[in-house]
Amino acid sequence: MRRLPVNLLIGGVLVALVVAAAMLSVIWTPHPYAAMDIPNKFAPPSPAHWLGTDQLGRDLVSQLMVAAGNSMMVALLAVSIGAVLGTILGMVAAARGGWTEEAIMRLSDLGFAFPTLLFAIMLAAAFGPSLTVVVVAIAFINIPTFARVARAAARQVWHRDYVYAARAAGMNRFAISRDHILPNIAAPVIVQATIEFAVAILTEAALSYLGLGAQPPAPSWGRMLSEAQTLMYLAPQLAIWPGLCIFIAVLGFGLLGDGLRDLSDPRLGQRRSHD
Amino acid sequence: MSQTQGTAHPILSVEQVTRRYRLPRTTLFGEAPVLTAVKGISFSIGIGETLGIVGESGSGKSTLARLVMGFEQPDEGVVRFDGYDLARLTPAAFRIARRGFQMVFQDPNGSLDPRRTVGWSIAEPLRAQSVPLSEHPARVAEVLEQVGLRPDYAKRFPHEFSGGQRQRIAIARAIVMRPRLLVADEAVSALDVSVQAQILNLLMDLQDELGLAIMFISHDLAVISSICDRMIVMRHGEVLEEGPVPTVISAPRHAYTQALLSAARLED
Repeated sequence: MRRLPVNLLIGGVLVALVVAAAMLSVIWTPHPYAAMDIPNKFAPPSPAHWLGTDQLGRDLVSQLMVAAGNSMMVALLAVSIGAVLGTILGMVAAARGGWTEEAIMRLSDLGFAFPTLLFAIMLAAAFGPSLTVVVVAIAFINIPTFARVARAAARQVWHRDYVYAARAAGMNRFAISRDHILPNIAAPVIVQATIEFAVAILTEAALSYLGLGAQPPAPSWGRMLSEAQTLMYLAPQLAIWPGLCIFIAVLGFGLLGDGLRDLSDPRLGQRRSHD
Repeated sequence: MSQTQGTAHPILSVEQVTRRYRLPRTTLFGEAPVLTAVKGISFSIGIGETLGIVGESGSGKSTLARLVMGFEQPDEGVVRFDGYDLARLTPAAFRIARRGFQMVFQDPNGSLDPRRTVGWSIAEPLRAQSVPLSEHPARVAEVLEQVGLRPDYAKRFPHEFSGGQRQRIAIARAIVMRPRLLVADEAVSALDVSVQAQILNLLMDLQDELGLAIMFISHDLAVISSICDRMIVMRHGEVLEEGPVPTVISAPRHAYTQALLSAARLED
């Protein structure tokens, strides 16, 4: 039995923490997250408000929990859409080769040239800022990444003897992609998805900070940060807590993805530890 | 050993086949260099006959296997299976023609999908050829017994077996559609010598049982001479010598064949 990599362990714990808070927020928060209590604004931590209240007297813990839920939902939707579409495109490219492959990969190069923020600003200008815009922007930007990962892995699998055996049996390219290619490229795709999850959380926070994502009163770590900005000297904790949440979530998913990669390719992990 | 000789009704005939590969460009504007892996080769294999193809690595013998299996198309020449030009068949007809010729690969670790059970892999040709699902378990069990394995191995995964057993599983998959030609590309080269003999015996038993023709590709002259009826000596994509195994072995006409022979004798 191989020992679990340390980064997998730490990442797993951090991710479990964030996901548990997000899931709990659906059924229970200490207070309704949007309930204002102006006389009680800027309250310090207390048994009633564990991390205190903000400038409108709203409970900080409740807001952070609901924000975690929003963040997870955006990242999950965006990365899933990007991963599914990108993986399909990458598999098609590897299966068909020739000009189809050229076209798909050159288009994905074009996608890489597009900064996520710019694309999201464009969408927000056209459709108005919302979390949907954030999801679409992140999903779109993820498609080329997954297309590249899937195609590179799939090309290798297409040259394995068991794929030649399937061709000799008379299987068509679609059946081979479904039966052999997909199961054998799943590991790198899942690793990439975990890492992109971390990036998506950060992007969501950035877009909400810029006002392109979550709209009031929907809480988002990024929006909480931007609102706390003007109050930095008065109540620095209002900026510190959401910042810490972003940090923990991004670090957690980053480490988890790293750990999964080490697990799926032990040679890579060993080489790294010798550096 | 099968005694069927001659090429009056060949199951496979390869006619003037050439295959070129374009190599990566070495200079920015120069023409891409071309490697001719197979140069105008012709041969045929009779029903139930075993043809040995011997040559060093890079002699084009594996390219020949890929051309015969239809993984690649020849640039010139024709590959006929049972009289049909494979390049002219419609995709649907080609798929059906595939029932007649199957392949056994060199590396038994790579020829079975690690994520699929043995039974799943063996049944793959049955699925590809739309054999009714109800027949699959019985057919899988039957071929497992034919290759000397227990039918209940079907539920296991490839990593639970030794190299020799995996090669038996690969052979089971190759014969499940009752092909008439088996292409064996270095099929025993990755195995221990004692296991090699077992697999060679198995191939010869199956040949008698099923009337298989075998195109047996190897770099090992000893292996070729022990199971083949006729042999071809290849080098640099060309046929140097062709004839019945005893004739080629006892009276090699080409200097390269003589060198191969003396090298093989030195090893013994």
